[in-house]
Formats: sequence, structure tokens, C-alpha cells
Amino acid sequence: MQTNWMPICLVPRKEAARFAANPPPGYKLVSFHTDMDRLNFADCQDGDEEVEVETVFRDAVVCCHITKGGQTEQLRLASLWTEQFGAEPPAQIEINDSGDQLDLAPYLLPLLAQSWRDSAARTTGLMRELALLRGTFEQAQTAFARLESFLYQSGRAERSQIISLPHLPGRNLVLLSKDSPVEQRLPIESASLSDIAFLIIELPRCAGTLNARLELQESATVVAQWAISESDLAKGWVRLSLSRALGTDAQTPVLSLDWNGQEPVKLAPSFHHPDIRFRATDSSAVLALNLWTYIPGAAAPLPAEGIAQLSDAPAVRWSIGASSLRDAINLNLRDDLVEFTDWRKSLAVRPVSPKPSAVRLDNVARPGLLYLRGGVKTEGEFGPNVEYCYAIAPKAKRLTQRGTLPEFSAGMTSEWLRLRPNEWADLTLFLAKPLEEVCDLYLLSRLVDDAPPEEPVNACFFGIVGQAWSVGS
Amino acid sequence: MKGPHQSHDQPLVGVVVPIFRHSVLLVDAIESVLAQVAPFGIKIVLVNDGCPQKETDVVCRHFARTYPEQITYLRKPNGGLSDARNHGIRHILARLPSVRAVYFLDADNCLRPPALARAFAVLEASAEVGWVYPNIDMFGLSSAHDYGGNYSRLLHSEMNLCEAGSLIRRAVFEAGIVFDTQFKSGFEDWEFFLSAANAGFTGRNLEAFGFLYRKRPESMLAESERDSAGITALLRKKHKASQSPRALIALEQQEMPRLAIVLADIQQVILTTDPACSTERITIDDYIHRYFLAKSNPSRDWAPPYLCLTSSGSFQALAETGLLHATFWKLESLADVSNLGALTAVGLDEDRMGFAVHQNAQGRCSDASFLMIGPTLLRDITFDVATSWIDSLATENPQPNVAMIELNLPQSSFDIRALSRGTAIFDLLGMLRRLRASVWKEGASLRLDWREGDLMRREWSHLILRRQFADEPVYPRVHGGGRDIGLILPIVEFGGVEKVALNFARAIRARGDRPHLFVLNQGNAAISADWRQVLESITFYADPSFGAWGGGAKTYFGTEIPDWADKGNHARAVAMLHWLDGVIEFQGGAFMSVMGKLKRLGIATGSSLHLADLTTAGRPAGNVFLSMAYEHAFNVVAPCSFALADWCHAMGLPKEKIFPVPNAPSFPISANRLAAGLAQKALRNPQQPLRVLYLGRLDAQKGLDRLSEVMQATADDTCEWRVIGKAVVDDGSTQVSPHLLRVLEPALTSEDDLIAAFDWADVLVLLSEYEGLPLTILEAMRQGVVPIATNVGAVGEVVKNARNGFLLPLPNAAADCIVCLRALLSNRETLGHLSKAAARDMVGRDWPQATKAFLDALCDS
Repeated sequence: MQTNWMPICLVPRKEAARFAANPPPGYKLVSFHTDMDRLNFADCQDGDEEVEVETVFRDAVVCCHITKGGQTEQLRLASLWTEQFGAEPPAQIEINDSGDQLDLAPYLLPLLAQSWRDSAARTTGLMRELALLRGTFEQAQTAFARLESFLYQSGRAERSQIISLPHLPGRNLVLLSKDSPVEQRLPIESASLSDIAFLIIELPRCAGTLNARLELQESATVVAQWAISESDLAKGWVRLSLSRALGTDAQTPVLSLDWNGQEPVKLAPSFHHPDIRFRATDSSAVLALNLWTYIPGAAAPLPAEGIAQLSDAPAVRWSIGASSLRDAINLNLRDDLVEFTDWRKSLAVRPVSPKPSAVRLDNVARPGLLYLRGGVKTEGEFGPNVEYCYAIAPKAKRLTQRGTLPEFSAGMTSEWLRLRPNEWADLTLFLAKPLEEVCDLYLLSRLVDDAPPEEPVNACFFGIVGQAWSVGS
Repeated sequence: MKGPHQSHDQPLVGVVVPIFRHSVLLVDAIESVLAQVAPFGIKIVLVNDGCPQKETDVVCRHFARTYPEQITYLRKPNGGLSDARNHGIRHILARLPSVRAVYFLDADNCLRPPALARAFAVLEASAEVGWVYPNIDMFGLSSAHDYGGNYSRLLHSEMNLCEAGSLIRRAVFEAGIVFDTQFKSGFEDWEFFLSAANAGFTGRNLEAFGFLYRKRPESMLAESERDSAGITALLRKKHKASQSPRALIALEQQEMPRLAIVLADIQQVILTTDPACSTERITIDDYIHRYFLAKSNPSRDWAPPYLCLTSSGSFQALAETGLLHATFWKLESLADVSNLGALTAVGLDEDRMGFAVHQNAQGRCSDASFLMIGPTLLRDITFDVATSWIDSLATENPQPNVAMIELNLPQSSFDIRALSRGTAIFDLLGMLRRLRASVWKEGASLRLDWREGDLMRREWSHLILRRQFADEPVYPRVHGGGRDIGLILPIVEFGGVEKVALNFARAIRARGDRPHLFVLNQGNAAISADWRQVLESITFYADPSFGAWGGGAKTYFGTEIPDWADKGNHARAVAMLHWLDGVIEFQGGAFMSVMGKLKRLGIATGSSLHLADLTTAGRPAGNVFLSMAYEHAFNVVAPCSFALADWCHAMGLPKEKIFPVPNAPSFPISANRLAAGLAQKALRNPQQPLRVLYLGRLDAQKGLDRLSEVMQATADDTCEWRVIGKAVVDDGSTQVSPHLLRVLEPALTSEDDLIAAFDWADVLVLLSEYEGLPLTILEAMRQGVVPIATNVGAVGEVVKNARNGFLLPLPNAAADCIVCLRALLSNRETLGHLSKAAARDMVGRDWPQATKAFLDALCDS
């Protein structure tokens, strides 16, 4: 920021020649005279060119005169100035010099000194205010960091699904073709938005990349972008995750999808909507969508099924939360051994003997994963002791027959954690090295004793956080 | 400010920032403008409105000195927000000729970086747009407000919907529109944009404008809300013309008409408020889409609140009756209070018209030709999964309450079948099925906008106008140029007052204006073809609570102030008449109490005065006295005679308001027919009996006792009597003697019959107790019938004793009449002279001439 403004020194028109002979350096010398109720100004050093009144008002810092006549003119100026601007006129100085070579500097120095004093006081005040604001900012940042840390540690740092526009079969699918991007205004405000999922119904067998962009309409800013190659795409929900939920500044979010494959991707429609603003491009329907939010502005663990946005750093945390637990695959012979409970967001894997009861969470263990931690608890005041375990296996090891479990490689299972009823604990799994491919997570529970339980045993798994490496907290 | 082509020398947009006591937050505002991303130069004009905080001056100076090319700093004595903005406008108009649009940014608000470029692009792309206004995203007390959808002057008349933080085309200011400095406590922006709209400019909302409004618990807006009543009153006073019902209903018609009239047979939907016009014609599919669009966000989009099902044939048939507007007005009322309003018709053999309302027409509505449903029920049925309730309409025991209008129409003149054999019920059920099955329905029930809709009144736009009429439905008529004059009558039968009114209507029509008839107190009236061919429309007030007279607890110099005048629902009556240019009441009684309200709406008001009634004790009373009580409510009055004009003046009516309309024969007669009749009369054989006629109402006022006495006395003379008439006021107070009843003939309703009766007669006898200036005398005289009449009212103005008839003093009238009859009987030559004189005196006495001065004055009021 640079400024080259010059303060103006006003002098009566009749005395201008005397002042102009020796203009004060760093000042613009402007003459004035009053004509009836009008103020007229002219640049003494620029051929008496007229100077606009608002420029004089802005820049004038002093008004000088020598003679009695000049003083009269100056008083008239002061009166009109106050009348026109409702403000005090510039400082007025009488020059006691009758010589031809006026030296204004001695008269301006006290003004300059006062200006320095004022400036110093103001700068000091501003610095003090900045310091106070900085303190408040640092305090808020620290508190926020602690809050984030608490959420990570508690294992419940999960994004909340707030909107689900279901796929409604029977409607025309939304075509995402090369050079025909699909734009969808999202039906919520941007504040705290963290994830957007759309549903692929048909995926062509051709190479291509699906580029997604999230833009905020009011500020015309792109806040996140994703690029997904065809090898990472599958039919089903595609969940685009932001590393950090959008801040509190509410705007209108718009998702743009662009596909460069030769054959079109077919997306699922939801409701037809009468308002064109909410329809997907070239469709009469809104896209089938799931939307999640998180604490505004806060970084959240990436959901296990989420696709990370293009950014500098790869993901270091994943959340295996309610949406993954809800989709768990029952590996037991009995259907009643697995139940997801919405209100406590837990998955009961009910043991009936020392032989493990199990579920499988597909594809939730992401490459780079080194460490898993999640809550476990046997709900109920009474009942047998239960042991809990995590296990990880590659997709290739999936068994289709219920009642069987794959052979888990060494180091790919946690210890069995034994708990009494109603006792909460964190179950953890440390891997020897980061995963190199997408794997499945198995949640296992078993009874310590052989005696069959009298009541169903609600051995519950809660949200799980995965980490690529230890993050200081 | 960034951008490839920006030029601060030639800025295209000026931003005026009025400043008073926001010395610190001002920095945010200025910085947000400096950070604008725009391909053009932006000039910021800081206007320090005499802020007492020195820091304001310091901040402004520093910014102006640092950015001299982009920022101009103006300082002025304090004059208020409007004055400060105007100061900035004046500066831009005078000093910045390159600026094409001005934005007003209050010192505590901000803009997002693309805001001005985006808004300016809208102005540049749309020459018809005068200003671009934002949605309002509030920070501090955080909330977001949607002002989206089409700009509506109708809504704008009701609420402040354009934030001052709008980008306004330079042309608006060049047209002289500035902020009104009277509005020092807020709403100055509302007033400003209303002025711009009245000057022909229009606004457009920009959804993602990027305007940020700092909201604090105590703000100027909060202040203005507190004093909103006072400021709003000031605003309405200043914009009286554009806030008038006539202006608002025109806006309603243009922007958000209240009716969707489905012509089921041709699958078209007329969108309109005035059923005789149409704002738009669309397909049913388009209507359904529009309906659900409005339901998906009522703040942004709109659909007509009332749905009316009919066919093109029924619609045309109704239009031909002249009852179109009245019917739709009533249907709207019925749809509000019942579940549905319906219409059918019954044919009459008589030449009369009727309008009856049956509040519960269950079982009688299966053939309805029109069916109207209101907004709430339509929404409930559309979104209700169950259909049995509404489907029962098609059964013998329908559950919805249907109120039915029954039109009674002469079947010789109208297509009764088109109005009485409709399929509106099945059309409605079909329409509802289509609505319920629509692909848009589910989407419409989702609320996908994240901003709170602040224009929810859009959904109820028809209530905006109603608010001026105590929420009564407003007669759906839009003024269409020319002049519309309403004639108000309590009843329409065959009385003299009705004949005068008919001739007023003819005179109005002859002037090129449009006469409209309003019948106050009757559901079935003698509105004959004579009436219909001259009237533009007919309305039955059809309000059972109305009574022209009676029930009043107060009197004005002995004349009762009727109860309805004191306590009636005047708003409903005004809502019926709001659209007229002039209203003339004829013996309207209590209705006079409405005339002052009409006058305040700018409608010219007139009263046709006829006579003072006499009470049973002989005291003058009645309509002319009541008109003196409401004299202030009339621009002009039309006494039917010069004598009555003098009386009015004597009673206190200013001379300038009095325009006598002396009565004239009530119906025309061709010159040939008249000449032939007079010639035949002159050739009558003197040996034949004297033909004596009484023609008029049979009530005590007409001096029936005297008539009876005269008939008895002349029974042995060679007089041939005819007594023609019927009791109009059937109150049982009139005793008709057997002598009269023996020869009584029914009232004559056609002009031909009347002409024949006057051709027959030699003498007309009218021995009334009191009169105005009876039309019968004038009509009789025109055809050479010699009048023998009592000297009451203004009869003496036309009957000159022994010159063109006989004028008898009231006290001895019967005896004098007998003498006169015998004299004529014996001296047919005298009869011939008087007959010719009577006919001669009526030459040139006609209504267009008689009414000219009065109607001129009414129209100039």
C-alpha cells in the first residue's frame, strides 16, 4: 500500500504570489477566495488550475495569511467551511513576515510535531487493539484445537448425516457425459458442510476421471475439488469428503461433476422438483444425495468410505462411524446376532459362545492405516464377561459362506479385550506397518465361558477412528 | 479492486457510503469495496454526515488520502441518512459522468468480492431493470433472508422488500428520484424504491448478490420497526395514488392474479383477477407446474390462490348475463366461508333477473357449471393422501360443504342450459387427481432453500388489497380506461326512481361512459331487456344484513339514521365499488353512509334526489333528509326538479353541488309513432266517452282515496276509466277500495304497452298526497293526455293550470277533479287545446339534456 498524497496549505488568493515564491516542501500550495457563498480554490504551483473542493477538504491541513485583508478572507473561508462541511476549518496561522521570501517552515513545524504526536498516539492505540484481538484470537484457536483433540480422542468425531434424498427408481437417470458436466445446487447452506454423496447407478467400462468441484455461489470460490479415476469408482454411493468442514459463513454450495470417459456415467435421481434451481443439469429431478455436516471449520477424520479432496497432504485419520457400522455384513449363521442401534450409534455383535460372533465392514481400512481405536461396551447391568477384537483382512480373503472367518495374518488382529457388563473401554489395533491396499475390518466378540447366556448379550462396537500415524494431541 | 479492464478514471460504478457513528466498522465496509473483483472501475464516495466522532473523519481522510483515485471523501452537516445518500448521489451526478450505477453501502455492512461485478452484469444485460436488490445475509445476529422471485410492485406496496444496499441505475437518479429526507427514522429505502417503481423503473432480485448485513439487537431497523406505524402512514400518504385500491388491483391483475379459471373442455387455464380480462392463458400442465413451484417456496413463486372449474361455454354464457364479475366476487366469498362455491342457473318466463345464494347446496350441486375452491382447501386436498372426502362430491351425499349461487334468468334471453348443466364437479375431481399425481408434488413438499423466505405474503397476495377493506373479498374488476359509473338502487321494479335511474344509465352510455347497476336489497329484480341493453354489468349486493331503512337508534332532524348506516359492514360495500370512477345512489337510504368512504378513495359521488316522503302524521322525512345528513359525502346531487333543488339549498346544501335533473319521459318514442298517436287523438269523436286513466303504484301516497271518490262520483257520467298498477311496497298499509279493484289492470312493463295506454287516454288523473315530479305525468303529456293532478312536489313545474292540464290544490282535490272531468266531458274543444298544449310543452324534454350538467360535474369531481 503506497500513498503519495500531499497536504495542502491554503493561502488567500491575493497573497498567493508571495507564498508561491518559496513554497513549503512536501506541501501543495492552494490559493482560495470567496465569491459570494462559493469557495474557489486554485493550485498556485500548477498554473492556477482549479482544485476540487472535496480534494481541498480532504487534504487541507493549514491555512496561512499575512495581511489584515488576508485574515478577513480567511475568516470568511472558515465560516463557509463550517457551513458547507459541518466541520472545523484547517488550522489558521498568521505569518509575521513582510519580506519577499517567505519561509513557512518555522510555522509548519509545530503543526507537524502535533501531527506526529497524534499519529504516535493513534498507532500505539491500534497496536494495543491488535494485541488484544490477537490474544482473543489465540485463545479461541487454542480452545478450538483442544475441542478438536477431545473429539478425536473420544472416538466419536463423526460427521453427522443431515440430509438424505433417496434414489427414486422409475425416473430418468441423470447422464454425466463427456463435455456435459452436471451441476447440482445443494439443498442446504454451506456452513458446516463436510461430505456430499451421490449415487452411481451405471458405470461404463471405459477409462475416465470423474472431477468434482464444490463452489460457493455468493463468493464465487471453489472450496474443494476431487478427482476420481474409474478404477476407484464403483456403482453405489460416492462420498466426497472435505478435510475440514466449511466455516460459519453461510453461502449456497453448488456441486459440479465432470466426467471425461467416452461413455456416460448414470447417476441416480431423487425427487422431481418444480424449481429449476434445484434440479440437476438437464434433468427435472434433484440428484439422489446424502449430505453430512461437522463442526464448522473443524478438521474431521475422513469417513472410511469417503474420498479425500485434492489437497496438499494425504489423509491421516479416518472415521469408521455409524454409516459403516450400519452397513456391516453379518457373518454369523443366525440373523439375530447383529443389530445396529441408531440412538446410541452402536453395533451389537452378540456372542453366544467362546466361538466368535463376527461382522465384516467392507473396504473401511484404507491404505496407510496404522492404528485403529474405538469404543466397546457390553450394554446391561448383568451378564457374562465378553471379549472384543478387531481384525483386518484384504478383500481377497472374503468368504461367502456364513459362519466362517478368514485366516487373519499375524499382526492383523488386536488383542482380545475382556470387559464386564456395562464397562466402557477403548479397543485398539496397532499394525506393524501401514496398509498398502484397501482392506476389510472384522469386529469380533466372544464369551469367556462356555455356558450359553440366558439373555442376548449386547456386545456393542461404537465408532472407530483410524490413523495413519500418531498425531500429537 | 482487481480486474483486467478497471479504470479509476472512468469508473462505471459509484459506491456511496453514508457515515454517522460507525467510525471503526466503516473500515470493514471500505475494505470490502476495495476488495471487489470487477472488470471496471469503482469509485467510493464516503459521505460523513456530520458525525460527531472525530475518528470517523480521521478514518475517512486516511482512506481517501491513501486511495485518492478510488475514494472521494465528502463531509456535510448532519442531515440524516437520506440526506447523506442524496449528497453522494448529487456528487456522482455532477462529477462522475462515467458512473452508470450507484450502490449504497451502509457503513456497518459489507460486500463479498464478486458482488458489484455480478450485480452490474445484471443491469447491463437487462435494460428494463432499474435496480438490482439483494438477498440479505446477516452476520452478528446471524440469519439469512430470501427476497427472491419476481419483483412485485404489489408486494412492495405492502412491505419493504428492497434493501438500500442495491445497485441502482444512474437513470433512476436522473429521473429525479432521490431519498426523501422526511424519513429520518427508517424505511427511507422502501420509500425510495416505491418512488422509482412509480416512475416506471423496476427491480430485480439477485439471489447470490453477496451482501452482508451486520445485525445487532439494537439497530436502526429495530428503531424503525418500533415506529413502523407512523412511518408507514407517512409513506402511504405520500404514495396515495399508487396505494389506491384501483392501482393495487391493477397490479394484482398484472403480477399475481387471484384466479385460475380452468376451461376444462379446451384444457386451458386463464390466470386473471378480472374475469373479463386475462393476464395469461396457459395449459393445465403448466398450471400444475406453477402451482407446485409456488408450494415449494411460497416466498419466491406464486400461483393463483383460487381455482375455478368451468367450461368455455359456461364462461361465455355467464359473461353474456352481465353478472360475470358479481358472480366471481361472490364465489370467492363462498369459497372462503364454505368448502366450495358453486353456480347454477334457473330459467324464468318473466323478463327479470335474480341472484340467490344457498349456503348449503348439498345434493343440488351435481350440475354446477362453476366450482371455486380456495387456497387452503386446495393445498390440503392436494397433499392429503386420502381422497374419499372430496371424492364424495360426486355422490348423492357429498361431505364437503358447497355453497351455491343460483342465477334466475329470462330463458328467452340467455343460454340457461350452459349454466345449469355443467360438469364442474367432475372437472374439479379430475383436476385434483392430476394435481395429486403430479411428478412435482413430492419435490414441492421439500424445503430446499436455506434462506428464510421473507416474502411469504406472496402466497396470500390477494389479501393485500383486502386489508384496505377489513379483509373482505374485493370485487374483481380492473379499471380499463374510460369511465365507469355505478348506479345504486335498493330495488329495481317499475317505480319512477328506477325509470330515472335507467335514463341516467342511458345518458351515461350515450356519453361514451359505462353504466353499472348495483341492486342492494333484492335477490330478484325487474332488470328487463331495456336495462340489460344499456348496462355494462349487474351486481346483486346479496348481503342479507343490508337494509336501506330500519332499526336505527338515531335520527337526523327526525329522519332515522338506518341501523346499517351506523353499524353495517361498510367495508364489504366499498370493496364492491372501489373500482368505479363515479357512483350515483338512488334512494339508497342506509347506503349513503358508504358514499363518504368512496369519496375518500377518489370516487366521484352523486345522489339522485326525488321527493320527501311524508310520515303517517304528515311530517316530511326520508331520503332527501338523509342526504342532507350525509351531504359531505357527495360531490354532486341531482334533484329531480328545480323546486327540490331550491329546497336542498335551503336545507344547507351548497349551490355548487346542486345540479337539477328535471325529470323527462322515461322511455323514448319514435317521432312517427308520436305524431300518429296525437293525430288519432285529435280525430276522436266527441260523442265517445271521456277516457280517464290512472297509472301508477297503488299506495297511499298516490291519493287512492281521492281517486276512488272521483271514480264513484263520475260513475254515471260518460267516463271510461282504466286503473293500471300494482302495490310495490307490500307492507299492508295500503287499503285499495273495491271500486278500484274492480277495474284494476296489472302493471305495464313494456314501453309498447305504456304507449298504447297513453294513446288510449284523454285524461290522466293523479291526486297524490305528495310527489316529486312524476314521470307518468310527463309521459302522458308527451302523448297529448291532459293531466289532472294535485299541486304537490314539483308537479307545478310542468302542469300549468288550464293551459296544459289542471293543477288542483290538495285540500279539495277530489271535488275539483270531478269538476274538471265534467268540464272536459262537456267541452271537448278545450280538451283538444289542452292536449295539444301538453304535447307541445314536452317537446325537447329529454334525459341526455337533463343529465348533462350533473354528469359533467360528477365526472369532473
